[in-house]
Amino acid sequence: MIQIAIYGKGGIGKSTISANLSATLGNRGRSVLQIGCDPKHDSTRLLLKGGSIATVMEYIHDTFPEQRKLEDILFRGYANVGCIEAGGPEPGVGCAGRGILSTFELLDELGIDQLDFDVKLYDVLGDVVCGGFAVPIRKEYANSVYIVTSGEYMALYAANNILRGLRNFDSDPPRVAGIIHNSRGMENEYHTVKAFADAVGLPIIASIPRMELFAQAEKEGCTVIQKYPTSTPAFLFDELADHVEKVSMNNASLFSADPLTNEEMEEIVLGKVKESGQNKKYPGFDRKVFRHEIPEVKKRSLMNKKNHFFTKNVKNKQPLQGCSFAGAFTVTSRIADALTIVHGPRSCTHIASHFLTSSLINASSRYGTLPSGMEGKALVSTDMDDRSFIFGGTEDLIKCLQEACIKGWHTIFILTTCPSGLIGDDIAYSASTVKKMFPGTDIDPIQVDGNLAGDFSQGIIEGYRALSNMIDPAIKTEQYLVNIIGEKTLSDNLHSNFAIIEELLRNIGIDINCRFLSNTTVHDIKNFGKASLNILAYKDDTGRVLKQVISSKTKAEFFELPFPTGFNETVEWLELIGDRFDIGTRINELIDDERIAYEKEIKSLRAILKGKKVLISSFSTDLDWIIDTIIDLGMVLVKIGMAGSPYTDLRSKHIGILPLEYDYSAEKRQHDIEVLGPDLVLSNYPPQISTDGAHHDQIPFSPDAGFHSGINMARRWSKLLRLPVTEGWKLDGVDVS
Amino acid sequence: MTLTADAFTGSLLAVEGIRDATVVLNGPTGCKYYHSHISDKQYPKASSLDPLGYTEEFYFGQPRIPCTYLEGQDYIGGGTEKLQRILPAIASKNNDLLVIVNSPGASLIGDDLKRFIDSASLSKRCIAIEVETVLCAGTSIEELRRSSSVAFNLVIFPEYGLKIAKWYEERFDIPYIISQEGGPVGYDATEMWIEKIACSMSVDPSKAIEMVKKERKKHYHKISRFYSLTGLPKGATFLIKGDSSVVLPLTKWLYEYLGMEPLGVKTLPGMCSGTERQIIDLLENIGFADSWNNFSDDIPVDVVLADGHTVKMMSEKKLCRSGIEISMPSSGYLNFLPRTYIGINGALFLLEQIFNGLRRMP
Repeated sequence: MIQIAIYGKGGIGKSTISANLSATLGNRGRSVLQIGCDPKHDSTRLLLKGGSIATVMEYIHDTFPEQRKLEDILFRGYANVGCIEAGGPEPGVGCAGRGILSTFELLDELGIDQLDFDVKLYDVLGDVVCGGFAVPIRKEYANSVYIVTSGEYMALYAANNILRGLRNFDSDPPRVAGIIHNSRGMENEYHTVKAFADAVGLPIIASIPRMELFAQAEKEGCTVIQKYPTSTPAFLFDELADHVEKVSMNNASLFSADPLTNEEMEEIVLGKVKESGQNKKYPGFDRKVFRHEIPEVKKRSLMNKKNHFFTKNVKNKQPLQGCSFAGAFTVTSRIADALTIVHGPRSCTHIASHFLTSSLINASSRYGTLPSGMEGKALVSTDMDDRSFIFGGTEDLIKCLQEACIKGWHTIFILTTCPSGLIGDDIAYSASTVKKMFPGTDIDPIQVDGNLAGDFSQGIIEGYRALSNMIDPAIKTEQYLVNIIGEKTLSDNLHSNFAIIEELLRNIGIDINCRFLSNTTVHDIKNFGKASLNILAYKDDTGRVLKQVISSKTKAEFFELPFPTGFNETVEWLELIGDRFDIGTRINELIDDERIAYEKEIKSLRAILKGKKVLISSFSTDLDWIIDTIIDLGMVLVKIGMAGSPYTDLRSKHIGILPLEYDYSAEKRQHDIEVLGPDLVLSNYPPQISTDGAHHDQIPFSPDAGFHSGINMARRWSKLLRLPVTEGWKLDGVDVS
Repeated sequence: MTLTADAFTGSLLAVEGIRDATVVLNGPTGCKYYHSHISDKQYPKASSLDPLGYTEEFYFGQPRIPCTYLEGQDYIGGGTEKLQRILPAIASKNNDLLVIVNSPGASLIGDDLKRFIDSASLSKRCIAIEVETVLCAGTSIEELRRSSSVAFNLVIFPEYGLKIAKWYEERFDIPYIISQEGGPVGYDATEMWIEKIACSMSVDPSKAIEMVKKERKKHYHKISRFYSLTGLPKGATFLIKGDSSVVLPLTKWLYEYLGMEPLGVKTLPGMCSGTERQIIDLLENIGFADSWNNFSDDIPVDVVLADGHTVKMMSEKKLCRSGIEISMPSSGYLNFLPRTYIGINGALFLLEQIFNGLRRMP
């Protein structure tokens, strides 16, 4: 298979040449795919009876990620040529280059590589020089590049710019096939092009004359090959196709890009710019006729490879909460012996490091858990600025990587931010360049591109996806070892909760193999497979996707329940663990001791709290630990109001038994306080002024794990109900919320 | 380790520092949450953090810095639709000056912000700015308007004020006063700062200087008695990291007035090169050249003066006996009494922190 990029100035005729070349190759029985990479999306219209097809950009805009299929954007044109148009934004807004990047990413995700094409032809606008338009000349794409030009100065200038772009990518192996001269019919035009070609050391592969035949064929929405198969241009395209075949069989030379300086250009080339023609619309075009039929057997394997790993907001196209860069950062920054390089502006690293350090400080001051070693310190920013936005940031990234390698880091993660993603910096190339110099260092690029990969939770998943690649599948399993998966790394009680779980497990003879991830080493991750069971810390949306990610890499078993909160959950959790490891007796002893203590405490608190009415208003969806405590205390739960998005359902065994209301607002809460008259209102954010006669207390977003979570809350309520409903300070100001 | 903020954060907070101005962020929520959080901490707008209070579009549960929540498609197709909606929505809430700031990613899209301002008929009260602007601290628009009628501008910290002082000089012919010894931090620099202003404005500094001297005398006995008992603070070590105009006078004062040893001295990005040169010269002259740019938060030290995160973390790890915040980000310490480290009261605050810290066991 050969991949060709046809570059040229906008309006130079590269789409006409691309379509005719594809048609010629198609007529020879070659399986050809032509991808138009020009926002004006008319590359393939001559292969499609002049019709326009759905562009990839339109498709991404209108279709949910899980519903995307290759067959919706891949069409079949003349001579069975596969046709795809990237499309782009309206002129003057947006970043068309980013559009090209997204097109290639989607085609990759939808499995374009699994279809067998002999020739892939990328028709690319060449006078836009941002990272997006350079995607087709990245190494994983074009093997050879043809440059279309006329004798006009601007066309040659664009041709020279393309050579500059190519030179920036690489010099080895050479990839420039040559120049295609598309004549404008100017005087001495061929000589001008020849002079340029000689100066840059490239052959002119074909010289296409300016002929009325092209316009005639275009009027009928077809190629010259199709309309005038015995014409001179058809003969010339046949020769051009011969050249492509020779290149694909390594029988034709490819050349290095050796562009001219501006001064040299002015010396060699003289001419004036000419406006190109406009696109034409061909009504009555039926897309179905041109739909590319994908064999059923292929369709199954063409499912979007990332489908299973989307978080809720990404799947449902809801506004993204936070950014995937920050999410991925919270994962990689927890590897004790790895460095995270943030490829972006310093503000991105500042924000991420602020959250990380704040959580470490809070964990220390509230729970006495001191950060260890390099925790919170192993991060570097490439400090992208205007310069790197315009000229690209890979040079700075490579420098940063080299410095990190010299300092002795053996594992380095690169995280991308919005700007580095938008300008299309090729971080995989940067990583491989440095890796060649420091073969002993693992450099892992994680391309989250700020929020382009999704929200904060999606970033966490992307981080875990990258890290799960480090797991050694050959490690032998040991019976009484477990892994802990997906702890909330920014929670103040991260380590204290872990300590509770660790102690519970240790008491019954089970050890922890790997915390995936917190204070984890690269060695721990590689040895992930030693554990016979994986325990999810949280079974929320992120936990669910995380389980899928790990299950796709390992065959390890997952435990049914997440970290338990409160007495009943902890009992159930331990009993199930006991069944799994066949150590029920030890567990029963532990539970019996705890039950005696729990019941004693409940009895004493019931004297104060029995019969008191409670209203719950919550964003948190796991509330059974609180509800159970309320029931055990003999309190009366008058309502549970669930705030937040309609996608967050309460996970409770009490559904259907207790009064529950979704889409709960502050106003509804206030109304219920007045009507239902609760003694105690529990909310994630209690209101400031409580002149309603109710006591208010907080529901923690990240509750403590283990037997005592509920009883600790109850102790607080018993005190609270004996204190003034409205403290004096609340009368000193005006509540603004 | 918290990396220092850059111009993006600076520009958002500069506008948020104007009492009757609202920043409209053209960017993703990832850039909004943090800045809204720290802005609201400094200039509280709501009594509670309950996101139910700000559920409307563009606010995402926070009272400050509404944003266009840019996402994948917006980067490709432009943020037109959201920009068209956000400006009238925010403008209808009050009469604040609206200032649109692009996030770094949004700056790559090239949305014509002026077009959206005009189409929302907001050109009289809405501006779009590039990253770099006036730094304010609770100023109102009216005060800013009147700011061109003053005789002098006093630049306390040149890192933040010199550029704008020069702009006032160029635009309104208002001269500015700046002390070559850095900001008024510690007794000596405060005295010099007073003298410099008095000289520039042709007024008598003696009363103000007398006040400083009285304070010095008043607290002499506290220092003397502590010294006679412990030999300290002489020989106590300190680490300092901050703006160059704070680091210079403070390093000098701690060394000369208290006899403390500068273990590590570092300045933050955006320092004044002249001031930095003075710091390097000072350290060379007193035999502590090795301390320059040598700030490690892993080594034990008696007193650390740095950003809140570094100070708090070293305190938690018991690597220092006293920690004093002299730069952002804050550790979150809730100040009920007004605190400052500049001027006379600032010098007394520094002394209180240092001496009480040194009372603790190393």
